[in-house]
Amino acid sequence: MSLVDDFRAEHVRIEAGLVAAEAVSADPMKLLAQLQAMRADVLVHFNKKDALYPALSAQCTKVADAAGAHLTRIFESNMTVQSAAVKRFFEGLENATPAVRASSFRTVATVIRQRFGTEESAVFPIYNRTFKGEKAA
Amino acid sequence: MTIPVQLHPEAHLASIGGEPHVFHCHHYNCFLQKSIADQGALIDAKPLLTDAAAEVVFSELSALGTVDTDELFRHLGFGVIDSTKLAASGGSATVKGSHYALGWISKFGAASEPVCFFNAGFIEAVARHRFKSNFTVKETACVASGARECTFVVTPGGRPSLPASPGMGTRTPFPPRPAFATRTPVDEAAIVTACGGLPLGGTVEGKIDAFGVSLTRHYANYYNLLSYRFDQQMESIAGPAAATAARLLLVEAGQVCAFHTFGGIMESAEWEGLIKPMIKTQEDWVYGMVSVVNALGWGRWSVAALTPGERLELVVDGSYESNGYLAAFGASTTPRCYLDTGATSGLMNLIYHADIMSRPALTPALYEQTFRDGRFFVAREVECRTMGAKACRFVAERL
Repeated sequence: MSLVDDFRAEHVRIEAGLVAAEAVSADPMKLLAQLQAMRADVLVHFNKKDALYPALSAQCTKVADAAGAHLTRIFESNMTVQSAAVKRFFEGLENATPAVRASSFRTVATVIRQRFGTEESAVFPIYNRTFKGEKAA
Repeated sequence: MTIPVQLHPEAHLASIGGEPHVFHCHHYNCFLQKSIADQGALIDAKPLLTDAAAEVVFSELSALGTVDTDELFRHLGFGVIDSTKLAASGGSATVKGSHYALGWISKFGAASEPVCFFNAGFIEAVARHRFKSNFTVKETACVASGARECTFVVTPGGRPSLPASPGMGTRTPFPPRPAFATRTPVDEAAIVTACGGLPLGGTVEGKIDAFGVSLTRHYANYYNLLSYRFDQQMESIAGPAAATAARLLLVEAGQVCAFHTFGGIMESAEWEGLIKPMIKTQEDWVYGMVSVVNALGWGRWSVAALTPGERLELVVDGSYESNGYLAAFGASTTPRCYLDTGATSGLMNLIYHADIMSRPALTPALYEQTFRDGRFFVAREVECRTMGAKACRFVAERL
């Protein structure tokens, strides 16, 4: 399994968690419990993703993939902002009011899904071509 | 000579010679240009920036026939141009107080090379129109890189003909406005009328300084051709990843626009005098800004739903982006209103996150804080005319 395969598997797992949370979003306690249950997984995933972009950028430079390096820098800037916001949400679950938690969750779910879509269609292909035949650091 | 600006109040558009014109400030103009020019490692960015200008300006000049092109340039806020040295054999033109050069310096500092790509395209169009022949234009000295004035060298040759501009674009009748659009004491009609009466033509120096920013009455199709060709070129040269990256940059440009232009408007004397007296609640700030937007030539914006501090649903009828995209490129499989997407999140972030009511300085640091820190708003276009919807619909929600 490559790192990208790991990420894809984690996307599936997190998506299932989001669906489960949406199913109980009308009940503040159940929503909180579901979000707490998936918190560690999400935080680990996003921390790994934060490390992915600089590594990918360095790899693109190493294999002289100027286009890949260029695009990775654009994505990194955008993803870093999203990542910080998603992690802030999950880290502060107990501090938010039920109403804020529920409304923020809807947005967070949208952002996570859009991000996963972008990564699967745009970022992972760059990873696959630049790390072809190599293992990521 | 008076520049024949034609207003289309029913469509919230303005045009000159069949070309739609919209107000945009130097922050958006320069940020958008830099976002595209910075991709020079992937695409041939400079011709992109100049060719679109030549096409839309040439289309306008052709429709106008006899027009004082130097006066037109000044009126639109691009600076003061001297095109008297143009001849059938080529020649040169100069620009004093170039909007792009001065805007670039104020935003990014000195440039290492000329930055007035739009001006070069404008001059190309003037030469083609005047001498009925083909020309290419190169800026050889630029205020942004230290020259006293911007100089453009014009040589015969270049593209044998220019593609037709999408003109007023693909327009459709507007459906009725959502009920939420008028749930406010803010009198939109009065605001649109008052904004229409503001002196927003260029001064003798070719500047439109209003709302604390340097405005231009720019060519809507310049933005359209530029943005969508950029998107296309990125995809064709570097694949879908590059197209996705291009769209992120274009939406970011919309946020920059909202932060500075909307922010500048909401901190302006015009806002204090005209709109603030109508405002009773924080939500009225949203309605007030939407009313001003409806005077900018961007189409008709309506608040479709607003949950205070949490969520905005905005419907835009006849956005200039969708009008232009449909006419120039046809139907799309993805949303195309990048400016409006960024502007929607920008609007909510200014009012509910950056506390624009307290009149903060609109600094780069505040921009970073507003769009990166805390519970900021993110926006997406959930329906787009280019994908077959009747109107474009945007949702901004707090993250």
